[in-house]
Amino acid sequence: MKKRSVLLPVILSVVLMFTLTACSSTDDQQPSAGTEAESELKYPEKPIELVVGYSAGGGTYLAAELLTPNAAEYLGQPINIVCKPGAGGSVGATYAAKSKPDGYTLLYATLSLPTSLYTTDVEYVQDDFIGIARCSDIAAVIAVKSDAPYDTAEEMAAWAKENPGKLTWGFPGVGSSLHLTGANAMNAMGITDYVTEVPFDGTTESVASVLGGHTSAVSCFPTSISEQHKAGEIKIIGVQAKERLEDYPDTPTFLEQGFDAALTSWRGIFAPKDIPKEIIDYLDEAFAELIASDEYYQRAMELGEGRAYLNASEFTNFYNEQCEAVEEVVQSLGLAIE
Amino acid sequence: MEISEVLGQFVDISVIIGLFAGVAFGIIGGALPGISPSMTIALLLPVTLYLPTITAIATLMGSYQGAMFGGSVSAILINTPGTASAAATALDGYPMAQKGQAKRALQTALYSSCLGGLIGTIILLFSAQFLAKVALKFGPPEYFGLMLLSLTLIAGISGKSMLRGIISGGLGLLFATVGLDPIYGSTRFTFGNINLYDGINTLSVFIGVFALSEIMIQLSLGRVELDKKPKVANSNTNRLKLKEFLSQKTNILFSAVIGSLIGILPGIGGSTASFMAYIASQKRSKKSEEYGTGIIEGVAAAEAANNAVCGGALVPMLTLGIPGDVVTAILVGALISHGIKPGPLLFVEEIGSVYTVYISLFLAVIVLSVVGTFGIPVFSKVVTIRKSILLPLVFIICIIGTYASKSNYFDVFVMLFMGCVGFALRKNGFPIPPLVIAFVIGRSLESNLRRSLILDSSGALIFFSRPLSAVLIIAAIVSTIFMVRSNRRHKRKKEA
Repeated sequence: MKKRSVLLPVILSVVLMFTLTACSSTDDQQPSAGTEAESELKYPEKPIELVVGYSAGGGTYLAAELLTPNAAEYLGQPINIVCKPGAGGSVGATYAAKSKPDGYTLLYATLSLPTSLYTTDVEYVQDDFIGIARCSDIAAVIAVKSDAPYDTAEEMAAWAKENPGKLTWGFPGVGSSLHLTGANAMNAMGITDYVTEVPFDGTTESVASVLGGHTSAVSCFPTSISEQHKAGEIKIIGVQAKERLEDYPDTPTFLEQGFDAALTSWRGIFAPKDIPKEIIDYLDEAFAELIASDEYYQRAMELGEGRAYLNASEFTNFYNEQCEAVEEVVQSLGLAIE
Repeated sequence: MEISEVLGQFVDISVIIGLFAGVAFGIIGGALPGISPSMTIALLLPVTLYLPTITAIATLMGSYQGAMFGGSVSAILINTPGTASAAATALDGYPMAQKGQAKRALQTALYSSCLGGLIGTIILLFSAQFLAKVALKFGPPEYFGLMLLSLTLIAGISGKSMLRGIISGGLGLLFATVGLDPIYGSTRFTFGNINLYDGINTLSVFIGVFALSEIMIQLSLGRVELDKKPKVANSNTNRLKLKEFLSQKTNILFSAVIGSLIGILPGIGGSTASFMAYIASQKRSKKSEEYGTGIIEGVAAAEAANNAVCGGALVPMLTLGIPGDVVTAILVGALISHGIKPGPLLFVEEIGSVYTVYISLFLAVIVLSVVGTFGIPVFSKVVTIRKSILLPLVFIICIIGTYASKSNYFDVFVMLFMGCVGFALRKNGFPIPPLVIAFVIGRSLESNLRRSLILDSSGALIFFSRPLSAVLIIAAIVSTIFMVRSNRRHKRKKEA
């Protein structure tokens, strides 16, 4: 009895730890392999580990979580999400890059992956990853308090130039996706030298700071301010996307307003580079079906993630393009490491 | 929808089961080091998506309150804070357990948690919209003022030597500078290791300096001592008497108010809140010198504060749609998937949903008191185990806990290092609490100082041109002067 009362928490923590870290080492029963021809793909034979470089419960984790309920149906094996948070996703990406390229370790990454190549002293390079599927593509916005003396990007740019240094804009964390997208917008408006950057510790603080009138603008995703926008507390200066957003039909994009800013933040699945071709094909097909399924779409809509699927070869090309685009922004921000 | 209608929906067996299950799950998750309240709720979230709205909200609120209390169980019994916000509970809770009063400490923690949770909910109920407006008044200079004020209060818990307290606090601030610079993004003391980019893992510091250093100190007692059957105080001194608990009512009220007010400010969190309440309680107390030696005042203040944070943190979430911490961020996700959209319009369009959240929080507190009362006799059995058996188990929990928090072995090594630091400090008479508090506050203190300076080209004037921050900073200066003077007086008295 005495011992049990201590052992119980120990056992529970071990159990919980394993559910959390979702160790992939448990060998599942082999499917009746004997009858199969040699050339046939023996994959997957055990659960697939999907590494997320952010904390459990955060936005990226929740988006990755959308894939799990129907994974076994489409992939033949369940997906276990493993959170390895740190350094803007780089800790998880490093782990995935170094993992065995056997298709059992995949990475769920965001625009921060290409960013980290230029801003962080990481051990991986651009070509260490191959795109498998893009799951979402999220437009960032520049938002200001509704009583701000400007309504459009043009007016905002003019105001900033008349009042150098007065326009302050916030974002969560130096080198974050929202820092890049925001800086990209300021750059396109030609006011980079007239505005003041204010890095915050998180999205919440940066939005609250605009509402409280401490900073003038914020670079954020529309989901963070949707209710404030509806209540008329906040207005959106411009959307960074090629087209207007479904939920904000009256809000023009930067492109419409004549400013070339359409850098979006996206999320998708990557694999380490040396993964066999057959496995890529298998995953490509399976994720295409999974992401096209109604169940996935329904869950994704609830989270504010629209349809943005790209297949493996499209996504790999997209990723390489993004690396170039990001490098440019990073250089212009002076964030690049030598 | 009227409040009575909403109330009626709670008379349902599935809601009650949800509350009990949520609280129990929360306590277990909270008690396990490495499983934070946010992780506990994240684990529950997928399940609640399939439940009816009211049951889902009740389950989540139950686990939120349960997890905030659960952290204190391991903090008291094995000096390993199960959650970051229970670190302040360990300061007095563990010494109480050492004196054989584990049950008394747990009871104090439980009932203070419940009362704190209740007070937090009441504050939420009556002044949510007003408080949300006040919270928005807090810009970077005000945050800095608040952090500075709490930092000066550290001197109060430095123990006998103020100098040693300052050195320990300075070390905490130094640890807080590790990682990416909050404004420029350049690396500091990371030695090229990306695991240090986000700074030193808070849990590694807590578990290292509290639990691991304690194991090392116990080991130095020698084998005979460790093999002895532990003494348990007789049931009379090991029980919290009603009168004793009632004597804490002002302490609990003050601490809960502090906790919920801190909870309202986005991004500060439970551990800062409970430390602030602890220090403030000590400042007010007549027997301030006994804090840290194992008295119920310390446990009551810390626990009332961290459960009151729940109510506070819901204020900006419900009224502004801005989650103050990770837990409320997850709750926003849960509410949205049930068709409730937190934000300024919620109070206008869907007041019924607001009542649902309030009532769930109330009921969660009540259920917590029931579940906790039955759980305490079981939990407190832990202290009857011989140390030669208990300590190795605690060591394993330390390692699993730090690993589980981020699935990263690096954090385990940091925890081991911090354990050695804690051991070296304690052996040489340096107090641990200033280090921990300075570490918790340090990052936010620095980033808000620098953010304020960016916002205003007039430099340091920004802190005094805004009334709120001016008041906070002047309070910090005044409290420092008082502290130094009373310290001198003490010294003179001793010399005389």
